[in-house]
Formats: sequence, C-alpha cells, structure tokens
Amino acid sequence: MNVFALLAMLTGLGSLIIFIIVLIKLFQNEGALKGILGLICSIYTFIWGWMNAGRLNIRNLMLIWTALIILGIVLNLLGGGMAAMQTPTTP
Amino acid sequence: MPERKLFPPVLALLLQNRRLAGIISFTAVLQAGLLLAGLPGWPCPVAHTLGVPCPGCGLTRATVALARGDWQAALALHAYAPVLVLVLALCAGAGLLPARPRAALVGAVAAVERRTGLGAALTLGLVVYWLARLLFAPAAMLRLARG
Repeated sequence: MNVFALLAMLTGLGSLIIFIIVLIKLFQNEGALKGILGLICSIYTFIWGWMNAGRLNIRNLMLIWTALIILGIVLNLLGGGMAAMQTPTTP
Repeated sequence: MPERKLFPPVLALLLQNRRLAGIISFTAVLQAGLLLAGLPGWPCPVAHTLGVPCPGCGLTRATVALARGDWQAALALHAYAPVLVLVLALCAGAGLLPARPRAALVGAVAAVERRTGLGAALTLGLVVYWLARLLFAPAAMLRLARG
C-alpha cells in the first residue's frame, strides 16, 4: 500500500466518524425515517448537516468533513491504482 | 375534519423545503455529470472505509445506465434507480416551480404518502433490499463497493 492510499484510508475513516456523528444528529432532530434516508444516502446527511450547521453548532465539524472529502478525492487520485482498488465507490 | 395520518410522509417533508429540494437535485446532476466525465464523485464514507457498500451505493451508476436506456444494467446495479429518477424529478419540480404549483405538488405527494405509506415503505424497503443483497449476493455487492 502506498502512502497516498494509506492517507486516503485515514481521511476516509475520519469522514466515516463525522458522518456517523451528523447521522446521529439527523436521527435526533428529524426522526427515524429521515435518519434512515441519511443512512442510505450520505450526500443527504452532508447537505442536511450544512443546512443546519448554524442551528446545531456543527459548523466546524462540517468544515472538517468537507475538507476530508476533498482531501480524500485528491489522495485517491494521487494514489492511483492501489487506492482505486480500495476506494471506489460512487453511491 | 381532521386530516387522516395513516403513514408519516417522507418525501413530502423533503419537498416542503425548497432550498433542500433544489440542492438535492443540483447535487444529483453534478454527481451524474462527474460520473459521465469519468471524474471522481462523492466518495461513500461507508464503502470507502469499510469496503461494504451502503444501501445507496450503485444508485448513481444505475441512474446513469437508466438515462442511457440500459434498463438491464441499471436494475442489476440498483433496482431503485427508477425510484430515484422519480424522486429527483419531484425534487427538481419542488425546487424550480413557483409557490402555488409547488404547494400543490407537495400537497399531492403528502396525500399519497399518508394514504399509501409509499414513502415510508420505499425507504424501509431499500434497507431490506440492501440486506438481502448483502446476504444473497455478497460477491456482487463487493464488486459494487470497488466501483
């Protein structure tokens, strides 16, 4: 595994942790069905997080998540083949 | 007369928020565009880190295949692709329509959802579909997670 792939994995892990935190807030604020929707589609959770960042005081968390996503995409592009084998997914 | 509330609406709640509906449709178009251009799109945090596809993984690829008219590939990738197309069309309508027709659209969707429970059933059905695919077609699901 090259260093870019390793870093991409770490950013992915950070992204997953923040996704779970925001998803919990989504469940708490919007109920089970919208929470499931957020679980199904992480983009929805991301959009909802930004739309409610001020109210829920999670602006910094959302900034970190956004940075991690961008960094992850860049690292995956740099990582090339090996990273591509691990990352792949477009929802 | 009090309104009958047999089932909670899901989609209507999304459509009620014009900004949210607009952003969802814009993001979907952007995601599909990136995929068509061969560029990296939204990385699913679940599949990316755990290697297990989330319930929505494959939906963009399936929707793009559907847009190309390749029904077989679309349904093989994700059976919810036609549902997503309908939902996105409704979101685009809710984001773009003027106030009165938008209110009528949201009202109609909410009424259908309350009477039939379609929104809740489709949402829960997607989780069941995902679990079934994980259990009965794990190899295909892993291929899906790898892109």
